[in-house]
Amino acid sequence: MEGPNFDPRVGEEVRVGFRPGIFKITKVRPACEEHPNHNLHTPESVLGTVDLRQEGSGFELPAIPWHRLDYVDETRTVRRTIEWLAASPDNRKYPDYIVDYEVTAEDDHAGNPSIYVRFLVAPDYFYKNGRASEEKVAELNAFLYDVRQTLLGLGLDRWTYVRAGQARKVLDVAS
Amino acid sequence: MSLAEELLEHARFLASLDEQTASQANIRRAISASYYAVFHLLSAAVAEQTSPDSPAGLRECTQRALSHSQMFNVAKAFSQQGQKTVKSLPKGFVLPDPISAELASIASIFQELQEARHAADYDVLKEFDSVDAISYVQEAEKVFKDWKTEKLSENAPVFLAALIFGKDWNK
Repeated sequence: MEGPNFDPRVGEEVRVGFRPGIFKITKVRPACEEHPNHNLHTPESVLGTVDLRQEGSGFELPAIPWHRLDYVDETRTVRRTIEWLAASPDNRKYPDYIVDYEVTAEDDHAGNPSIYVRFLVAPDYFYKNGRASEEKVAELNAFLYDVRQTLLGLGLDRWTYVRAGQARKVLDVAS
Repeated sequence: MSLAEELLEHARFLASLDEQTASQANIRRAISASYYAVFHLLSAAVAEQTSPDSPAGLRECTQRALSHSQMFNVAKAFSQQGQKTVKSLPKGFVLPDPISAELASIASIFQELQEARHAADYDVLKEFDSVDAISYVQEAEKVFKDWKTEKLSENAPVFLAALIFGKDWNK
């Protein structure tokens, strides 16, 4: 895999141009796969199209070119990039002690629209004899820096913050 | 020992306390001290570059003129390795060298630390653990280490000047 996959996916929510409301993607056609209705073909269609259905009204929009889609999920680009990193493409090491990640969109303390990535690490990984391992934390910091640089390379109009935290242990609450 | 170094040592001390009990007070103060260690390291360097040390107190007053939010914005602008043109510089001004891994790391960590400092000091909903504390202390230590080499670079004077003048260069 050469880079993150930003192709549309069934179920994603989008807005389209000046049309009001939110639509869900019901069908994705990659580049060069034509819509069965030839009347819907345009020069833009050759780069890929989707079929959409409006939530609530059920109104359908067929064969909308990919580049006309405005995704509702503000974290989408970052989420897809982390997904790509997690798939361990060439020359990148995604630590196996990371058990999950969260991506959220919110303003930072200065009011900048931001995206926060938080990697969740296995609770026991960092501790040895009850103390956190300096080496393991240093290794984690190096990984976080690499992720930050990758996200900066996306040229997003949002600030990004990349941190890690412990995944919660399953608590024994039987008593 | 400079104030910045003392703060870093204090942060390290706080992070090493109560690892098993994970006292929120110690952890939060460790994160906060990590940020202020880096803040004072950089702001002292800015003051040293922009102000003479005589008459007494002038340099310290210059250091007081720095603004956290201004430094935050400049740090963001310098956090991408390899760039030669960045926001926060005078229009048309190009950096002498591409941003090094060290400078990008310093800037990126400053930004992360300031955000973390706000959360550690004010966000009581958030819970920090001792790995957070050690992680931020290590990040601050990395800034000190990287700055030792980066301060000799051609880009360093530009970065320092941007930290204090950035928002006024293009008014």
